[in-house]
Amino acid sequence: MADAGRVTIDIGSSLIHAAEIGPAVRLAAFGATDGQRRLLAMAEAASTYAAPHFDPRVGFEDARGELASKLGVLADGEQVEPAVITGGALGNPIKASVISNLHTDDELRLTDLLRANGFEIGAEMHAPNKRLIRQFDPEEIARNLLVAQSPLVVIALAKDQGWESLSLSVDVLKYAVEGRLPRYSPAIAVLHSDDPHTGLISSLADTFEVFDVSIKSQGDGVDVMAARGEIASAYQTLVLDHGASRLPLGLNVESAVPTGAALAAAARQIAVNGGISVAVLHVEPWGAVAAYSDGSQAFAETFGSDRNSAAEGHIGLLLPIEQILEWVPVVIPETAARAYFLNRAWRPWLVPETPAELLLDHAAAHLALREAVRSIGDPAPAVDLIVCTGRTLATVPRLVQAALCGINAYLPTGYCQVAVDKPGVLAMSGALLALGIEIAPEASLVHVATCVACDGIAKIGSPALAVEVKPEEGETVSRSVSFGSMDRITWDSSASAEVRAWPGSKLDVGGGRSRATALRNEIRRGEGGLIIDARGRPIGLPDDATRRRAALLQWFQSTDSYALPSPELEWGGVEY
Amino acid sequence: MSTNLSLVQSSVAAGLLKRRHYLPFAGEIEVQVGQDLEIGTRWAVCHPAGRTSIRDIPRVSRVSPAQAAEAIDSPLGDEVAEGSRLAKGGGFLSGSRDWTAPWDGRMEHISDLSGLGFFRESLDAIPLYARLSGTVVEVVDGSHIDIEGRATAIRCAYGAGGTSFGRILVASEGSDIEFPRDGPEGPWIVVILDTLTPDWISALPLEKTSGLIAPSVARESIDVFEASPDAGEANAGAQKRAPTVLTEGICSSRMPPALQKIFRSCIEMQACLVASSTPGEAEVLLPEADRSALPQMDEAVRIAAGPQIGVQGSWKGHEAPYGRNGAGVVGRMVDLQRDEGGIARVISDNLERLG
Repeated sequence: MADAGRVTIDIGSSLIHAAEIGPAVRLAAFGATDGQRRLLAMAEAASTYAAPHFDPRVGFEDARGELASKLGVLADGEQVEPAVITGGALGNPIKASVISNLHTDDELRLTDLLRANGFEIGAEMHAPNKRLIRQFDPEEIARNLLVAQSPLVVIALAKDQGWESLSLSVDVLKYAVEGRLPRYSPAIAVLHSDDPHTGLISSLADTFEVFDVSIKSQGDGVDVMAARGEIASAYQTLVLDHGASRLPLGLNVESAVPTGAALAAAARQIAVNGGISVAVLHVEPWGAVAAYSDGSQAFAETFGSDRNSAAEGHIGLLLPIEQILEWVPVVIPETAARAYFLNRAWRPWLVPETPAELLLDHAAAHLALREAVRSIGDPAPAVDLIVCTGRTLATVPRLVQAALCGINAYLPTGYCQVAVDKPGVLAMSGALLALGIEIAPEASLVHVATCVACDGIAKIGSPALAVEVKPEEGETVSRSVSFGSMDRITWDSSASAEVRAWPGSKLDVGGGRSRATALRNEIRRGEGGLIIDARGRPIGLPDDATRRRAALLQWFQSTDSYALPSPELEWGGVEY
Repeated sequence: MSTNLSLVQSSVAAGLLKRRHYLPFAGEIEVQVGQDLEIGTRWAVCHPAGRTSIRDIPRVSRVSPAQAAEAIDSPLGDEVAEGSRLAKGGGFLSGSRDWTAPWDGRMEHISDLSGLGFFRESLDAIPLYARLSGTVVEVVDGSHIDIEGRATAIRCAYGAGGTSFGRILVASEGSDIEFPRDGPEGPWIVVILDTLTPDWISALPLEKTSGLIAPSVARESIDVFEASPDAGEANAGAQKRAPTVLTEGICSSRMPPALQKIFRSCIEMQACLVASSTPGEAEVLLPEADRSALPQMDEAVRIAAGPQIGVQGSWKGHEAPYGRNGAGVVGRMVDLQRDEGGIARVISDNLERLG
């Protein structure tokens, strides 16, 4: 966490820069301070890769100028050249469609390998240990590929007698896919355990960019992991192709790192440094990413991020509108909500102008994050720290709003800390870490709150959680919260405090059903204090609209996250 | 306290602009570096591929994959009319049906490894036209060209229907659209200054209109963009009839006076409407506007979010202290002198430059 004490900046050390190209262009400079490399300055400018400029240099130069002026003497006349680029505009993640006849276990290894290297699975046509023609109509293969429009098509074949399945895949790509859609010509990775038919591969290479990879193991089997290098290389090629029109020309970029991989690297570093498990939740209008690490492993899952049409341009348009409105405690017509998200898809850099817009943004953000978290695990793995970042969460009016989004999305149980990456640089820090450059990513985090949440279901209104906070100085605060409700306890911000919790008979706060627990470490207050979440898991929203709004109001008002009127009021606030 | 204007998005760019023109499909580029092009000039022709019918010929004709090519009625590459037989069904008792051409097209490929036959629909070649007048500065065969020229570009919020060309016609307020009887011929890109309504859309004569520019559409009327004329609906979708762009978005806003002035300065001039539904790509390309038509840089801005979306004002001073907007978001707050009177205090993130 950010240290309020004095920081010594080593002016003699060279600065490292990172760029994030998203709804805005952001540049960050990291320098050595107190022996660690951490954020020194950050600059932001309007993205100009789209109309009316179609020239990313304009925004990039604005950001570069602003960063240089912020750095002052620290810049030492050096030109800002990012060592790494990340951000949603690069197209993260990239879809890969898979045609395969591998054994099911190998197929799973292949899809895991693709995901680990920044891809998500588009169309998947899997005929385990069979001839493809036995399982799929060739026209169906073509149709699936055209619907998915994946920039990468992976053909993974084992025991392909007479190259029949390879021939089928190659012919479908050449004669039924190529030229059918405007500017759609995928790269092809051919993974084969037999000696390939050189004529087929070279005819494929006449039309497409081809990555030809042997996955033959030393015995007679298949070693999918042998394709690791080529898959990583395919990602780098495609991400730069995909984002080429959005990157300033001539930019000396050693590598582009997808947001998911960057956040996973940041989560791992924070987990290792703190000896804890960490979830990083990142939301911007285009998509949501949830990354998790317990120090030994780190991975990320994504929701959204396709921007091929306005209908895909905002997370609010990718989720059912009625589901989003269930999480808004005021009456907003569905048409108004849809109009709002469409307008935001066209202008993703805007910020909410009214409380109703803010509620819509935050409801969509937590539901999009929930989808990404669900891909990590349902329930999600236990976590000690939730970090909220990305444009939507880093710009919240009150930090506790980001904390509530994080809690609603991750649904932690027991105790966990919530922090916000206030400058919104975690993706850039992670991208540098992914390249092997040492950074202290936790330096940009602000501690917001500690959450104690109970697992299980009980009767609404029944006693659920008794909590006691004993600050170093001052009086002990006790609170009893009924099931279905939230509450929060605050105390002197300068004092740390001990926490104990006694769950109701059917509930668990980490020690087992109805067993009392105490946090071993003392906690600091932060802006949000101790958030008590007695809603159980999963959270049950009342079906009745009036009761639902009342429940939401109780959650929002008790945590002091939103200032809202009574639910009886017909309160639009979205004036489209 | 001066405000960093680089954070304020621009909606209008004027001067020397460059536009990349991609070949959407394989095709031939017909221009060279250094060549001057006028807006609407053909620069390439491309050949989209049609649908493909695929059949397992050994199964259809009861032959081996190696004999598949001999079982086909028409030679590879020859044009075949819809309904013609491509391969004769084989077998005696459980004989399979003939494979007939589902469209006009040609046999593209027969694999001697799998025995599959690929019959592809023939489509007409598509000519591609320059979106702005200028000089070709780059040609990459098989991929794209870049054209650089002096023009004015106006970014639009919404687009649907594709790219079109025409002369600018600003519709008079409160009356039917009057197309000029004398002067240059159309087709016309009609500029409407008020919120687009289904009535406006139905009133547009298709033979004269190549595109539609409007500031906004009310949220209750979004459906007009999704309705299909084929379905016989009364107020059929605008984008099915003519490419359409909205400068403000889904709201009930009039076109800001600064944009009206730019369009009025280009009346009867050739323009290009890029009505793309991909966020950030919709725009109108006009000949370079007269300097007097462009508002002063830093002064004319529009509010792009919230209840006042589309309201134009001027931002003469650069005083912008930190504050909170209606949603509580912290940022630089700008006191905007609204054109229609009064002061609006707006967070600078939600402003767009019109100059």
